[in-house]
Amino acid sequence: MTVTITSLTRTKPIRIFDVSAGGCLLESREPLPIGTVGLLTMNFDGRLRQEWIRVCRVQADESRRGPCLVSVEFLPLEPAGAESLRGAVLRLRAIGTRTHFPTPSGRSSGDPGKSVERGDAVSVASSPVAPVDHEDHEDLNSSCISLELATPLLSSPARACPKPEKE
Amino acid sequence: MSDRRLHPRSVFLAPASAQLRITVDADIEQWLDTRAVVISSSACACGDELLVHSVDEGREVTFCTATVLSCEPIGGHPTRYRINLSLTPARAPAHLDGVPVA
Repeated sequence: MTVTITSLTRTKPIRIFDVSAGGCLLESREPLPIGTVGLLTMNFDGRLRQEWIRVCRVQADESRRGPCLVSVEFLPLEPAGAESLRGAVLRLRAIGTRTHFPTPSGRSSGDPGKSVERGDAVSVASSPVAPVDHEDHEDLNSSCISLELATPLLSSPARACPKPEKE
Repeated sequence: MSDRRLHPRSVFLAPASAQLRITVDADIEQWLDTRAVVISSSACACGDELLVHSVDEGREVTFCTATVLSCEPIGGHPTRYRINLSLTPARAPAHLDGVPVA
């Protein structure tokens, strides 16, 4: 067989800190070049979700050692279907809007010192369980539960950051 | 792209594990049945498992798994890397976007 074109695909384990309908903030063990395009797969809200992403910003140590924070944007290459991560976030957000959750805006995740202030964001629980096939309404119900569970954490005094007293 | 965030974000209670699949093009320097040497803009570590998609002259897309045997930088700017791969002999058809045919 004569091969004329080839491509190499690598799968990297990452961790995700926050997510929105437009992108997410993740941690990678090695820096990713800005502009890198890839397919993100994660278990979110009881289902395996996928989304094409593009790296926007990389916040890495100057020595380039250790993990780095990477801001990525979702690429809406196709409509947000049932297995779409951004679709799941949009549905979850819609529920939050309909119930009692605020929908604040902030600056980009990759903007150090300005936007990484969790008080402006809503906490959600990812789904550590194995992916199962739920109907959409069941998905939404579990989203509600996740949001309800997040409420005490959002109002927890541990998140308050009291100013130091002057001597 | 605007620096202004368009969508409200949700913070995970604990960092969520996920996987990122990244695909880069590679130039073929040498291609045998079970070995290949390719030139890529992305470095690999020895022992890395890769998925190699290829298009033959009949425009048929196939994929196979490969293990990185060695990776060395090549001079020039931007830096490129010569990667020595050990290919698994089994090949399977894939769609044009690289997704294996079920």
